[in-house]
Amino acid sequence: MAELVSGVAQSALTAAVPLLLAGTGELVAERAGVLNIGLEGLILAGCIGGFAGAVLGGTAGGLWLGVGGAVVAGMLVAGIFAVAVVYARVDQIVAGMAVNLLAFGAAGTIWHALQDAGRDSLPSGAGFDRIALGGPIVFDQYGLGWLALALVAVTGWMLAKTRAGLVLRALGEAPEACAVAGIDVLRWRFAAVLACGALAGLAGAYLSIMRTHSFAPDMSGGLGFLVLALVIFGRWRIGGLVVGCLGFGLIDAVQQQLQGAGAAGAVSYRLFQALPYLAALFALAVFRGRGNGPAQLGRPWPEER
Amino acid sequence: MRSLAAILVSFSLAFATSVAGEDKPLSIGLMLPGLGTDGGWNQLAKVAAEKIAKNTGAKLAVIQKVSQDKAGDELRDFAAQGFSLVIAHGYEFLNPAAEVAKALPRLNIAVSGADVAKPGIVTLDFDLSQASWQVGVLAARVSTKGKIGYLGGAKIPSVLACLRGFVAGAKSVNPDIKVVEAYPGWDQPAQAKAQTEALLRLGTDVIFLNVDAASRGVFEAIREAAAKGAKVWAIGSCADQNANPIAADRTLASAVIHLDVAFRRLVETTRAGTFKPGLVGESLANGACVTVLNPTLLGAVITPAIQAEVESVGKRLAAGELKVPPAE
Repeated sequence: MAELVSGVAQSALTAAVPLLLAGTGELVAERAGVLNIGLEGLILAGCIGGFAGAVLGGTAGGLWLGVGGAVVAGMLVAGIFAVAVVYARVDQIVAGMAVNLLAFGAAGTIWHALQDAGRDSLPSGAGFDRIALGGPIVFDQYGLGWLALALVAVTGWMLAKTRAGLVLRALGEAPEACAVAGIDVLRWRFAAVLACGALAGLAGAYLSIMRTHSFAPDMSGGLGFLVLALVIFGRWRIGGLVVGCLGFGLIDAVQQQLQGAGAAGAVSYRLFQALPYLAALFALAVFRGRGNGPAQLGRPWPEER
Repeated sequence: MRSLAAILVSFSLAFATSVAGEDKPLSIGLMLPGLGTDGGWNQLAKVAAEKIAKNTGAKLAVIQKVSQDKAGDELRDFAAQGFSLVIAHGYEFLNPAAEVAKALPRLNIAVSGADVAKPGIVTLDFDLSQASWQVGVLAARVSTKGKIGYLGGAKIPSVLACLRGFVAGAKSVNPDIKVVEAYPGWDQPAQAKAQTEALLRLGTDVIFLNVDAASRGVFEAIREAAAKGAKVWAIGSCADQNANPIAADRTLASAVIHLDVAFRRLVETTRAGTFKPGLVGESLANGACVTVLNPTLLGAVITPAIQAEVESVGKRLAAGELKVPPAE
């Protein structure tokens, strides 16, 4: 029994990692005032960028090339989005959707090219595996899992305690005041979106070259949109986000265990699959209205030009 | 508008007639509901059609991601271009195909993956449930824990038919065996991997999978568990997944749909002018839906006795002596 509980906890944490990575990125962008609904596309860009990097790089070292490729792919797509919304003042919702479509198209094209070239699987024996730390099985996680937790902690500390964090938070509340204080609002926002791209790219790499050692065109599977909801659920705070991500991962792990335990034959499996999302919706509805997001979220700066 | 359509249709008819009269290479159209690179249903069809086109010298055109409402137009388009055979690869194309067949009887249309006969078209009904019975026997024989698993993309009739075959086959060998089922979706490897891990935690040691692109996640979970010393096995479906690049050494067998066998028959009858509309059951009996054991595991893992049993069960299923229980 203890082993089963530890196993479910391991699954929960494993499922939460990509949410945490992408969520931290989105949090940084949103605190700076940029609503990035292209997150789903950034994650997918990370999936294919990581996979392509690892495949082209071959054995051993190729995997690190994969992680690098994922970060670059995420930042590249995020850069296009950032130029559009920060400098060209394009509507952030419209640009975000465009980024999603762009990433889906580009990922599909690269995937077909890899398949045509017969490079659609990682070299055998290669791939990041879980690292066993000893002790309960819950601690056996992928390297990027531990890195994700560290990144979350550092970001939380950065936002709360450092000048950069203060600037980021101010960008979302009162960019005007930042400008008066001599801060280059556009450049800071651009950088925040790039950071979001890097973290979303890592989330993608986690899915493709760590978690599954493969790529599929629907790989991101709505994760980016879920993260948008989790950021709201967490009231734009890192602690709240962590609770949301771990909670979601836990419900997902439990529903899978219940399906396996015989419930799938009795109750509709669709209910189980919907369960984590229902919980997220419910949480959003219940915790709504306690504190709002950054005042300038989604608005271009300067307001008039 | 209607008269314009009528004129266009008659034009296309005239064109089709003129082409059919000449001794030109056969033109085959393949209409897919999804992308031909999905690693499952669509890819299987594309590969099979390409193979047949190459072997028979036929001209092949593949159109992908055709939605149900566009299917009729696409079929008329094929007819207008002088195609002699179109394979509409999906249940959703059944009604549009039957409509078009009424107006354009010269075009041979086959709908694959459906189970209803319609006038004027060939319906290919692929039934993997008998092959699933065979892999059920295999799973029960290889399992040491008495617990095996089934992963489906969704609870649709064909997936459930395979489950019934799998359970019946396993229970025929070991009445006490436990079969657990779960449905992680068709296309998401990460979800499928997590679901597989959940089944493995419950002590399942053989998993029969019936998903598309998500299969990579299942194989990856099996590979990872096996690397830690667990004696766990996968069984693939639809395509021959015995040589999958992730866990080939842990894949016992695949329940395979030989689309090329069925497609080749369509091409041959079209060429000979003997194309006959109706429902065609593609199953174990005519070699279209079979179990392929992993040749590299024959001997030590799949002993000669198990292999012989799986083969003899297959013969009895094909002969109708054993029957997969119908849906309740």
